Amino acid sequence: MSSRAMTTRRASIGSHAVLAVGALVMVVPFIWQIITSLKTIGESTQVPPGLWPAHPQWSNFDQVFTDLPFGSMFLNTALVAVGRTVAQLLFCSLAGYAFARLRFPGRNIIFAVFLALLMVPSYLLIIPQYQVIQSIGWLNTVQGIMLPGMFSAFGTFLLRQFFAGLPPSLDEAARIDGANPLRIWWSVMLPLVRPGLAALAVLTFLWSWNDLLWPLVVITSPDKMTLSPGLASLQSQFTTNYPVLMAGALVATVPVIAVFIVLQRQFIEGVAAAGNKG
Amino acid sequence: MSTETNPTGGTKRRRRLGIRGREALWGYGLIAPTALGLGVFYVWPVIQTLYVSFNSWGPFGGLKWLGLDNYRELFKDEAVGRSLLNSALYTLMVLIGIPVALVLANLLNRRLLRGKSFYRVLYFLPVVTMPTAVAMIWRWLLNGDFGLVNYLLGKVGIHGANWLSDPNTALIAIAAVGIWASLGYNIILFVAGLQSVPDQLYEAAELDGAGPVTVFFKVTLPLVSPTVFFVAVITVINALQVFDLIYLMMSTSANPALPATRSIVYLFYQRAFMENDRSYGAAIAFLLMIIIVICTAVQFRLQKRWVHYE
Amino acid sequence: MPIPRRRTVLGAAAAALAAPALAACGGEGAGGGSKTLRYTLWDQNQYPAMIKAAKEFESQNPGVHISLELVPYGQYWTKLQTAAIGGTAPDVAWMSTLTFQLFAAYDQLLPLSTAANAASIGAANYPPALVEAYAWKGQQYGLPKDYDTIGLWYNKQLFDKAGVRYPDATWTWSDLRDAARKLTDKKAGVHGFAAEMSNQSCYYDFIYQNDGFVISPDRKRSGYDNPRTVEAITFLIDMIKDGSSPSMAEIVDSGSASLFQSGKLAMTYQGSWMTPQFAAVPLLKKYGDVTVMAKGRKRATITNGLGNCVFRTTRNPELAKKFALFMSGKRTGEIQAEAGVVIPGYRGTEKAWLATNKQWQLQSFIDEVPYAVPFPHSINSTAWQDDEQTYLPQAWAGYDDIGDATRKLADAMNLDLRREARTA
Repeated sequence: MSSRAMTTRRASIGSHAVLAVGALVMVVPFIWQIITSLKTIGESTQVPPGLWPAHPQWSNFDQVFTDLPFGSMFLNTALVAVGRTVAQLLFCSLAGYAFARLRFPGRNIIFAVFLALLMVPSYLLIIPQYQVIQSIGWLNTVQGIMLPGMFSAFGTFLLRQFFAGLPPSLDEAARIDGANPLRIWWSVMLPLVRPGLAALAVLTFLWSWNDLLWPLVVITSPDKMTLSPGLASLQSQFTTNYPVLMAGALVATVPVIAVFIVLQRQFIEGVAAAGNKG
Repeated sequence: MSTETNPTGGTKRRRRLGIRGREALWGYGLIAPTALGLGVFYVWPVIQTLYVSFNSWGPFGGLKWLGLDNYRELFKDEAVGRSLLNSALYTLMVLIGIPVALVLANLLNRRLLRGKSFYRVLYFLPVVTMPTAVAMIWRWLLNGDFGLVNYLLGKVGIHGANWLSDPNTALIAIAAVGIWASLGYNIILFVAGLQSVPDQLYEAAELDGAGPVTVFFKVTLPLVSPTVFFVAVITVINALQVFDLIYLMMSTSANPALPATRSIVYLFYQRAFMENDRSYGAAIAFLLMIIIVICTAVQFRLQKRWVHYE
Repeated sequence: MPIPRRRTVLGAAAAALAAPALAACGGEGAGGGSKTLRYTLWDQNQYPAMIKAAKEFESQNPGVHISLELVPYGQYWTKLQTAAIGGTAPDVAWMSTLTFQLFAAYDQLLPLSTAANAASIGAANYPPALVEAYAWKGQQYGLPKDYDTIGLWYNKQLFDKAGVRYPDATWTWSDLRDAARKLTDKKAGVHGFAAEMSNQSCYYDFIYQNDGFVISPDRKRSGYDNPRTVEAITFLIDMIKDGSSPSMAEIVDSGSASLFQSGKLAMTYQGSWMTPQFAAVPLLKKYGDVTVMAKGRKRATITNGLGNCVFRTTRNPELAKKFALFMSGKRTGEIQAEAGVVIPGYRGTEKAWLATNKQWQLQSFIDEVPYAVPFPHSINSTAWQDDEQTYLPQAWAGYDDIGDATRKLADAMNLDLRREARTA
């Protein structure tokens, strides 16, 4: 028994070593972003770059708030991101469940068509999508930014995989009890794919938060603009104030990290739930 | 979906439809919202664009029927072949990131690991790091004269290349950044997949005296294979569409390695948006789509051999 | 997607459902009351000056509201084109000489002349090269709100160390080449000059100084098979070969401006737009300076400048034209000069710009105006610019012979120009 404890401890030290080295590689650019946000313009374009600014320029953060209407941009971005995330969780989990656990004619063909949509560069669809939004009369509205991104082939595929991995006995049992598919989806299946839902939520929120071209094309009024185009506008044609840009990006990132920290608890709770029913 | 609500007509209809029929109706009903949304905002635009690819299209609209001219042009355009090759090579290299992400995710998912949440946040940070910052630091790391990579190589007596401007190394360097950038995403997906594996299965395997490596291959891998399959399919689809990363790394100045790194979507973007030939751009996009469809279909064929759905 | 303003079937169905949400977008300012003009621009650095100028226009024109829409440069043209296709283009927008012909040739813009200003729109007050660049088929569609030229920036500290006389207006190409050699110090990692494959701020200038050309004046032919053009490119690449310029790889990795700011480059050709950035570098504030570029067979500088152009779809054409002229006019010029970001286009308003950095001879940029050449462009400039990016770097890096590379480039560019003539 004690030798097993030893191996466990050794394995654990090994895990920490690998994870720590990996974490270093992963984190360096983020730290670099922090350092750059405190530099002067001159320091930020030095070769070779200095590792630390002579005098940290906290004023770069002030400048971000004078350059950009951060308040309204935050609000719009959050609204769009939450709307898209909630919609995708709902629609993708319904569709993913149907594709994974229900049989219906044409299922594979429809799924293949969904998948094929992932294979077209998204830039290509900007103009036709713009025209659809225009004909609805939703140009220059927050719901106009939100709408196309509420549906996702990626999310449907992702959740289909999670649903498909669950044991078939689950819905058979529920069906014998007389539950309809909607009920099975809600009370049996969804709790078991919580980790998948959390992953989709993180990725959708993040994608929406960073979405650049679409909001730009749809929105004209500055008060309806989102963060990502705002940050992009800090990059000029010839010269860019990188420290201010990085400072802005850092401020914009905080909510995304917060969402991740909250949702990763869901990942952990997900284990217990799956473990009980598995 | 009103079959359940009408007590008199409902039973009759239910009987007529049978179990199969009802299941099918439910199926259609549950995919309906997504199908409608994707139909309006994706399928319909794709069909319109397909039509455009058989025309010429002015920068501000105005179609003229060309038939297959754009597609014929594709086969004459030297840049197309080269760009396809670049995209394919990039994709092959980026696949290396999948096992790395799986191993890291597996470590992050160890039950008894301390500081698990902290590590997960650290591994999430690349995903939220601004792409401009990512490009900036990697350009510095890979700098031929002042870069950390060449400094370290110099310590072991290797004279490093000018990674980003040498046509022989630029694509490899970009793929390395691509792997780095995708690790965070893939780890999120793998951790989620691993979380769905019931703990009892590990415990049972450990009671049988299986070591961590055996557990990984015999228990973990089969159980997360649906997620691995998903990540593999998405990685190939995304890698074949790589554009932003190459653009960020390569477009700061004229670069002799551009022809050796320009991907097919980069070329598409250039032709369609910078040179205002959107119908030709559309033709490039559909050529790419056909290629990705084939790759994905092959993956779906092969999944029967290694993906375990319960 | 294809046909402008054609309603899609599904779109129309959706529109019926969402009819109440149909809102008039943008303020078209119905009736006599207030009128709104939408003004699209891209540069965050110039935004404060633009707001200030727009406010003055508002106060001079009661009841008019200007809505400024800042769009990042990277997405600017995609956004403008998409909006133009949808019929929702702004009233007035920034235009670059590089894209102006595209919008003009496809009939997206309105000429600036109106009944009120029929006699003159004051074109004589602007750099002639740029007035010409914003004319199309005999009509003036824009006037430059600003302009830029290229200067020879140098680091006095490195000149003193090498004992070389500072550059001045008497310098010729051979002075430049000789000084670059003397200033190069391999051990210290210092190069004399950056022979960079950067169009506006390096090799285009050399080509026109050598009496060559990039594109023929009628915009039908490439200049890359012209011996003078090839000679200018050879002159630059020779400076890399003899070591007085960093190699192409080094410039790709570090950038000429960064090398100059870090004291690793004694001379570099950089645009007037770099002034604010260089001023933020203590080393250059103290030891940097700028003069006119060296003379080749003749003097030349590439110039570019942004125009204010009016879109065809505006509901208030007279007002929009008035605003466009105001934003390129004298008062806006003064406001821009004080902000110090760009050289204002209106003659005589640059004084405040010169005063922003008195430590440097910024007057050099203005001295170059008489022999300035507009940035080479055609309707679809980006097509052949891509050819340049494909073939020239191979010569610059030494992978391809200069003669072969320029020949291939000329062929590809001529093909693009023929296609352009067919489709326009």
